[in-house]
Amino acid sequence: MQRNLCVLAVATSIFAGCSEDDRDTGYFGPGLSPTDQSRDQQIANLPGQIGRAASSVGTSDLTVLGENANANQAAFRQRFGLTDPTQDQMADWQQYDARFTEYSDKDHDWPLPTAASANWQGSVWSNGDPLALEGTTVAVDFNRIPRGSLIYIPSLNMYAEANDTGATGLWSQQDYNQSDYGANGTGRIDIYNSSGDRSALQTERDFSNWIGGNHYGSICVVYRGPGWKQGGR
Amino acid sequence: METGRSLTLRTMKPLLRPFLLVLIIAETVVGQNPPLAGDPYASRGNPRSPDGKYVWAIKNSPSIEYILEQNSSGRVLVQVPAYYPRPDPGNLKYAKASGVFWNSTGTIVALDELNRRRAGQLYFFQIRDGQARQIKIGALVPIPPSVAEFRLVVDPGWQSETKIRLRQSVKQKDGAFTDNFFLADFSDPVRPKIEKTK
Repeated sequence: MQRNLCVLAVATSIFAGCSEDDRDTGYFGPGLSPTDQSRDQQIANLPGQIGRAASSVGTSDLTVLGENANANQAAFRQRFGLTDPTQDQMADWQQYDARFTEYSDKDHDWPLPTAASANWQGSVWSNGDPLALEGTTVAVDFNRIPRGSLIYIPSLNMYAEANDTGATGLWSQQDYNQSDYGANGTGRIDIYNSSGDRSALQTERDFSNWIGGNHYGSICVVYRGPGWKQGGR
Repeated sequence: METGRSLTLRTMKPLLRPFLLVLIIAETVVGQNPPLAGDPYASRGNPRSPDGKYVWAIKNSPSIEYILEQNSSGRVLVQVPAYYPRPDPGNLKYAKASGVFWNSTGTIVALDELNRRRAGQLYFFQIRDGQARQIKIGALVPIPPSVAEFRLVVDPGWQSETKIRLRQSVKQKDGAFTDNFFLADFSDPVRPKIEKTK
């Protein structure tokens, strides 16, 4: 339902002749930088403002991402005044194609979190890297989404901070002809899982079952770059 | 009656095994990519060639690149783009975490970027007569079926003047992880060989 709302919002803005869509799509072209300050400073009707709540949201239950995922999402929302987006907000936010994949603390090549920017909780390892938090951390291709951006995943009703990254060269090669790396794509959204007692295999299986085997969907880039955190407590 | 020498041997013998073990562990920790402990951004290996003639440096503008220079003249032999080439502090920090591994004679060098969940590249170059030539070995290494992501890393380093041990880090499509180990043999740098190892 929420995804339909997103599509409806995009369709509405297209019929309204909204040029914002074109510019946002162009942003992902080769000529524009994701660290473009005008983009970073642009705020697209941040959530938490008064409005009519969208009638339906995604799964809302993030437990599969780890024991504390729901609590982390709730704390994240509370700290930065994020609420379920209204229909108006959903209509304002640009929708992008994405592919949802997962990673976890069971990754052999991630013994230490080698993330890229300060975490919303401010908690870091001794080396200065942020701790990944299940329920709010995603790894993205910084060539597609600026480091530290706030994103919203309608199908999961999940806000997340794009503060980690991965093998983006491989991602773009492998998904070259797919929607996530198309003209309106944000690339892969690699969602962090805290595996707990689960194996890496089980974590992947749980994630796939959770998203219904459909790795392709849409996301909203609510705010480009880390500036949205300045309003947080 | 025990001589001083036999006494020394008897004292040393029990210590020899733990000593060798510590050496092996130390080498693994130094060469492991990413590091098993400590700061993942600590540089590995040595950017300077054994004879001191060449040195690797990182260029930050207009994009992040690794360059191999002749120490005396500053002449650039090699320019390699960093995996994350956009010049920002996070990407520069990542680039600086690369490892440089020269063989003992300084004729072959490996440039191994930090392994961040299979991100990064491993490059080999032959240095001869003041010139550098890239040696590509990727096509020689078998790729297991059902691979989602993989890359080669140095692990832990040179085993001899011509052989270096590598780890192929694999994430399968089903989410499982596997490691495969290889020896890359540069006895003939024009026709390098790859053999499986433990």
